[in-house]
Amino acid sequence: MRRLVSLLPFALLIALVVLFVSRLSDPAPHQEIRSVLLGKPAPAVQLTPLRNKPALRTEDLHGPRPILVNFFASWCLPCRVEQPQLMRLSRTLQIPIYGIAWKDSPSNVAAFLQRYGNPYQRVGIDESGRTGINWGITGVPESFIITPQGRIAYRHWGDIRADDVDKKLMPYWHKSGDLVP
Amino acid sequence: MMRWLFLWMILWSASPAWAIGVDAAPLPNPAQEQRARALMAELRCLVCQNQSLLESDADLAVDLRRIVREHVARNESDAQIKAFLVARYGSWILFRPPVTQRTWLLWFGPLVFLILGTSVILRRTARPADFSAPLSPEEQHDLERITRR
Repeated sequence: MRRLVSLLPFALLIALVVLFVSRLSDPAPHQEIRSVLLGKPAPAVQLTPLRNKPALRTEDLHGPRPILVNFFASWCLPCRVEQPQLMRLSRTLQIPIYGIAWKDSPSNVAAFLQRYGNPYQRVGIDESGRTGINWGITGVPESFIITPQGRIAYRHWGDIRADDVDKKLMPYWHKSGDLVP
Repeated sequence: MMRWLFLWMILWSASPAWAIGVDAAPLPNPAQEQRARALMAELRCLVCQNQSLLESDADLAVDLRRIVREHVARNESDAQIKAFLVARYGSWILFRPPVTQRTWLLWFGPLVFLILGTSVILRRTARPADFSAPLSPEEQHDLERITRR
């Protein structure tokens, strides 16, 4: 019995080492930092509109359908990479996407959308970056699913990949009964 | 003589290390700027996550420093400013997480391990090994069994 007790610190050490190694080798640590805004009402937005494009205001974040809000920027490389997925979501899958250009200028955003396509039903520019900070973003791209009641259901950190669309985003729209199959 | 001069030059050339949290617009009131900098040192840069807001060069850190300064200039308390940021980013942004049920182990775990470890060590060294007593009959028997082998 005494031998078992004396082995306890060693066993505890092994358990700790296993715990630390497993957490350190986690490939997606950023995903673990869950947004504290989940379940809360989407924060207000204060955005510069783009010429000739429908503007995005706070009142637009209240349904009637679930919405994808996508923070992007013309200077952001992963944002270019995810554009095809956003186009797919918007054009093919008919999901409403609202874009917020973070810390960007109207001319650069217009050029970006001209060049890579515009998946956004509404778009606005957060020139100061304050709206982004109110939504708790740490960079771009980040995307949020907003419920018809205007609450944040899900935050996607980083660019949206093809299997993110199928595994993380579309299930939400299917589940909410929003999409006509 | 040259050695001292050389040492002095090396130390002097390291002085830019003090140039942290220097932005284009520090607060005009030095006491407020001091308080803002103290706060920034306690807040994590979320992009370069082991640096404080004071040390980091990331764009987000520059923005958050500006926000801290604005709130300090409005005479908000430290608790209010931290609450503002925690509401948006979670307690992860604080270098010192709050002491709650969930973080209890984080705060007191090292102390618990220290006590456990010390008690293990004490228990081992405090047991006096008494070799002077004569062997009991069982021990004598064991000894003969082992040495006969």
